[in-house]
Amino acid sequence: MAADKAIVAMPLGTIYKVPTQQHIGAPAKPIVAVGDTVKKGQPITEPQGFVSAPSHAPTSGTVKEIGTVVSPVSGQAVPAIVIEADGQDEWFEGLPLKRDPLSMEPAELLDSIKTAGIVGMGGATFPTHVKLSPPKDKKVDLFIVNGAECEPYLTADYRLMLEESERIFGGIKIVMKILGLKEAVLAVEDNKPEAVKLLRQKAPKEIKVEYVKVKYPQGAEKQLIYAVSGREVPSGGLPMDAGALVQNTGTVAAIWDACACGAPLIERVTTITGRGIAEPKNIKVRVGTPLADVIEFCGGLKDAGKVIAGGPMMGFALGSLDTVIMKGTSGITILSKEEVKKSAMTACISCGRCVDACPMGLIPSTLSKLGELNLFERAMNENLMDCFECGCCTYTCPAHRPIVQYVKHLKALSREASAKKKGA
Amino acid sequence: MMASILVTSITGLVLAIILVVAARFFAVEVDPTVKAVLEALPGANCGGCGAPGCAGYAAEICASDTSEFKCPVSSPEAIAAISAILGRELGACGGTRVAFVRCGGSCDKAQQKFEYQGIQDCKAAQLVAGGSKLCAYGCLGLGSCVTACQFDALVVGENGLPVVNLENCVACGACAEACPRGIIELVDKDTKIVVACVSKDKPKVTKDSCEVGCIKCKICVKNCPAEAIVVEGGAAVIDQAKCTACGVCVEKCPTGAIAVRLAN
Repeated sequence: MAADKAIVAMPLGTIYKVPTQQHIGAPAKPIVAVGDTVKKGQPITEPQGFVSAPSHAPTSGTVKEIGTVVSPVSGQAVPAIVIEADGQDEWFEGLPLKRDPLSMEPAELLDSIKTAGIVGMGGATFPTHVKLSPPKDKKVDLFIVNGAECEPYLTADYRLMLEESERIFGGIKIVMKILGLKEAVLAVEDNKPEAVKLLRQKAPKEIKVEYVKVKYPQGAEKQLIYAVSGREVPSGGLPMDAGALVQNTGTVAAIWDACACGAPLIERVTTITGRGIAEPKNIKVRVGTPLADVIEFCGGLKDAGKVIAGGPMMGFALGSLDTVIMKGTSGITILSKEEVKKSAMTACISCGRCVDACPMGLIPSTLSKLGELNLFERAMNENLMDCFECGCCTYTCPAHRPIVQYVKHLKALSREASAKKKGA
Repeated sequence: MMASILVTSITGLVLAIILVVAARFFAVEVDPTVKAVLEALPGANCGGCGAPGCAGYAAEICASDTSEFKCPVSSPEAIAAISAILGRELGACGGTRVAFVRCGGSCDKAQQKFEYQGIQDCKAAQLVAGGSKLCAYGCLGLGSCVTACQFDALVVGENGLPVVNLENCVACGACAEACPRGIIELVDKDTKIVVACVSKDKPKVTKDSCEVGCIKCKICVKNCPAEAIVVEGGAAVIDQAKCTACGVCVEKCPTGAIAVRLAN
């Protein structure tokens, strides 16, 4: 729908709300106060601990409030720094830099990535500098760049590969240098032949551009590793346990910006799409831009039934437009009223379609039944934590059971119980 | 034929002897007092006493020498029976407190943020964009408290809010535990005047989301002759020890967040 729409930069807005936590790990602490003047790219939060990431001012202006914003992921109000733009869009002192990242030391490169606040931009938002520092006993010999973009509707990575492949290749080379690798694989689903053709023309010879079969969820980390190399990541393990490391195309592009120009992650490409929006677009947008502004830039809603942060399979349904674009927002999908199916859930008929569909080899029907009874401990024995909520089971269920919601519910119950145990 | 009967009989006999011997040597000694107390307890395993279940509480009360009795479910007869078993007088528990739902935002009074579809459970619904009610503190009305109640003391009423059956409620607190928004509180049975709102939102937000929310105007604080009401951070809180149930606050409250409890 938005696949043939070139990336357009969204014009500067007046208000930006930057959440202090846009990553997995410890929340970052604000280091600016109300009334402070900030410049574009100036750090405004300070990471707490190793698994954490700072945020930066998306433009120049003044800090209006240290308040809250509704997170598009949890739907809860989270702390955020509200910045009123001054329209000058001036860079923070010293930025942007001009340097050759490939002559830098790996430690220096890692440090640049860390201070730029880069997190996994496919949506998981795990701090990238942590992922790129595997423990010494784990040997990583396979680096895959994830250009699969298997989630329906989303086209941000595809456009990035077509239009800004230099940044992607540059970022890949930096990661290869950090990991001490001679080769990397850029995996693209075979429904994007134009991208592969172009990338193969331009790719340096140490980067192999490979096709993977179109099959949701091909772009899930573990599935992609299997598709590219045939290696399996053990249950409860990380890709590094299989000697592999995966980064999203958007993330490697951000790594290039951070190392070559010292530019922090304050801007990303995201897809605004679906039948419920007037003009589907791929936009380059600053982190912290209010969603309502983005919707307006795309011509406004039209007969919208449901607004989802992310794609239709794994995205989070939004309760209101009063939220912002974050580092991990790969897209906003707006379904029309007609597309939002309303159907009552019935009992599980044990047909087994979800079992066939599950890419992790779990038994989703059992998990959903345990979910009805709040039996999270038994669900843990059924490998609840291996489920990454791709949504294939729910999509295929003829009894319209909200299986993924049951899984999320069980995970929440389990988190609650372990928090209570810790507290007691 | 004979052989098979013989083999079966002998096997049975041998196994029976083993079982008898094992039962004698490996028997777990149970204190007869604990057993008797356990039998006298209601056996609902509701957790209202704080112990994991009735058996846990029976062991706890036998091991201590307190006169405080924590089971809210036991009838006066049962308490008398347990007192007799333990040989010491136990104070009455239960019957003095009941569950109270601190939200008045019924379907017609509180705004919905969106239409919720999915698991009919408040904890699960809370995970979807923070719940469908515009007010982030109000009752979601899916009845997790009703499911948690073992005593048939809660139903979700027609207005979308849970209603406590005061006859049946034993104040075990299972509903309060089940509520993801912490709306249910155990209050004294005689409590007359209550604030049916826990919102910490700014007044304007509350005003926009619910007709009967506490807007922190402090009119009740200013008018209370007993100085029993405070508004600090969240919604108004009445100090029940000071409250004389004069009803001035109920009359003055502009939104109707303060109510006479037993009247509704």
